[in-house]
Formats: sequence, C-alpha cells, structure tokens
Amino acid sequence: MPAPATVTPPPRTDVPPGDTPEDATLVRRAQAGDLEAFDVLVRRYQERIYSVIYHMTAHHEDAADLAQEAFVRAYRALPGFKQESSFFTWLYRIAVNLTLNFLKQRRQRGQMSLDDLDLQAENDPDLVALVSDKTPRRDVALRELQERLNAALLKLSEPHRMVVTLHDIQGLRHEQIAEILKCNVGTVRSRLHYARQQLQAYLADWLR
Amino acid sequence: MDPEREQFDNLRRLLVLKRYEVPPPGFFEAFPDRVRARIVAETRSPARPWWARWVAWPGWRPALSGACAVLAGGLLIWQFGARSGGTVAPAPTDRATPARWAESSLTPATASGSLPGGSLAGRRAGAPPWMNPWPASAAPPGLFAPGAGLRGALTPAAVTSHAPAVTVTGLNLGTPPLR
Repeated sequence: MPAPATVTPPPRTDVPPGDTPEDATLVRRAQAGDLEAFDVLVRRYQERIYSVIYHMTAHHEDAADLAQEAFVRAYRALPGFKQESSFFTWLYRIAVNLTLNFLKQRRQRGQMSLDDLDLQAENDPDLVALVSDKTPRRDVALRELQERLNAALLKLSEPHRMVVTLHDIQGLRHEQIAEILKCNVGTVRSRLHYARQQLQAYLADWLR
Repeated sequence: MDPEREQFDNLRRLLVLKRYEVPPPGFFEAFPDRVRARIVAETRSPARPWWARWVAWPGWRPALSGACAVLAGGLLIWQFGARSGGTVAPAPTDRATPARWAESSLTPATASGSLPGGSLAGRRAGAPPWMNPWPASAAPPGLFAPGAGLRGALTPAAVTSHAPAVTVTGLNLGTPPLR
C-alpha cells in the first residue's frame, strides 16, 4: 500500500511581507494617481484581505463585497496616508474596521456560505489524523468538521474571533495584531487565550 | 505531555483546515479588475451636491416615513372631528329655493305624465334612476311644509288643476295631457 503523499498546507499567505521598499514606491505612485501601481498592490494583498474577512464572516459573498469595498476605500483614503505605518497594516486596519462594522449590523443573520475546501486538505497529515477515526469517508468528515469549526468560530465574540483569525489562521504576530486593532499586546494575548479555551469547549468531541 | 497543551495542539491542527477554504476558481483573477472598474466608475461620476447627499442619507427614510404617517393620521382625525362636530348643512328653510327646484323638475314631459310613473319626487325627465338624489317615494328635503300636500307646494295653476297621476306598476293610467 503506497504511503499517502505528504501535503503541506497552502502557501502561508498569512505571513506578512512587512513593509517592502516596493510597497512604498507603489503607494507613492498610486498617490499620484497611477492606477496600475494600485492594481499591483491589490494583486499582492487580495488573498490576505479576502481571507481575514471570510474567516470573520464565514460567508463568501459578504467577504467578496467587503474585500472590494476595503480596497476602494483604501484608494480613496490613499492621499491622506502618510506612510507612518506600513501599507500592509494600514490596509488591514481598513478591512478589519469595515468587517467589524458590518458584523454589528448583521448580528441577527447566522447563516454561512462557506468556501469549498481545497482537495489537498484530504491529504493533510494533521487533518487525516484528526478525522480518520470518525468516518472512512474523509471528504464527508472534513466537510462536517469545516461546518463545526466555522459554527464554533461564529460563537466567539467578534474581537476574540478576530484575534484567532489573525494569529492562529493567518499567522500574524501579537505586535502586528495589536497595531492593527489599536490595542496593547497584553490584550491580544488575553483575548487569544480566552478564545482558544472557548473553541476547545465547543469542539471538545473533535479534540479528544 | 500536558493535556492542556495537547488539546491546544489539536486545536491548532484543526484550525489548519481553515487555510484550505478557497473561493470559487477564478475569483482572484477577476478581483483586481472588479476593484479597478469600481474605482474608475466612481472617478467618472460627478460629485453630488451636499443637499443630494443629505436627501439620499438612508437615516432619513424611517424618520420621513414616520412623519408622513403622523401627518396622515392627524389629517384623518381632524377630518373625523370636523364631521362629527355638527357641521352638516341644514335643510333649506327658504320656500323659494324648493319652489325653484320643483319648477325645474316639473318639465312638461313629467307633468304630462308621459313618463312611467310620472312622479314629481325629484326625478328628471330621461334621467336614469341612479342619478335620482332621493328615492321616488320620498319628498325632497325642504320642498314641502310639514302636513302640506303636493298641491300646496306647487303654485302653477296648470298643475294644481289636475289630479295626480295614478300609476299601476309603472304605467300611467288616465292622466290628461298638459297643454
């Protein structure tokens, strides 16, 4: 029997590129009205921005609309951007604030519109270990796990879900999260700790 | 291994699944064009004046709806109060007015009784029944003094000299023609 192929998770779009000199140049060009330069910035950050909004809303259409709105607002606000923080952090802040405001208005709607799982997920060794004893059908188990996981995340309060999304899913550092959310690092750590405890309670039967 | 630590590791592995959630194929290829199209559209559209933005502000809509509802309710209450406050026009007491009305009603055709049932109770010649403001059996208000008959109210001699028409099921029997 051939050994299952080792699959690494998708490229970590979550690792922030930092403030590259290219970003600064592109921002200056975009501030001068160069749409091509802004287009490059959109292509560079679209996956991260879409991803953070999607993980917060668990709704593809909402995430697509909000991501578009975030970039349009960023372009409008670009003339006032002084480059005191990195473009990456500034853009994230716009997306996060937009998403939190949206979620405040959407509280009563709990339905999800989840993205499909990448087929590679069935071969991820971590996930195989978690679902193999649940059912022989990995795809069914993964789909069920995906729904349970998203439902559990939606039970968290928005600030707690945001910290889990930015740290545990997207891989940002505590300091970067604190800068984006405009709070201190201690707050980020305590929110993360509480959110993990909550998630462990909600997903106890999958974590045994 | 610390069980709490182990549980946390499992949670971290579980959260890895979130990274495999991907939007429909082609989404990220089309996304920059959508953003660009919106930016271009916004740049080309002329800026609206302040009053247009003020009117378009969605917060006004509930307030405006409420104000309209209050206004409509107030008008209804005012109208109802005006009607029930005894402002119905009184019946005319002037004898000349009913007399003129009677004269105009009493066309030669009616008086001659050539119409079926040639009643004087307000029906004009050739008028359909729905145009009759009063039922055929009822006298128009103010036409007759209490206790007075038809003859007492109508003064023309040509009318008073004839007996009222006798009708049987809508047919005129024996009323002499009026000359």
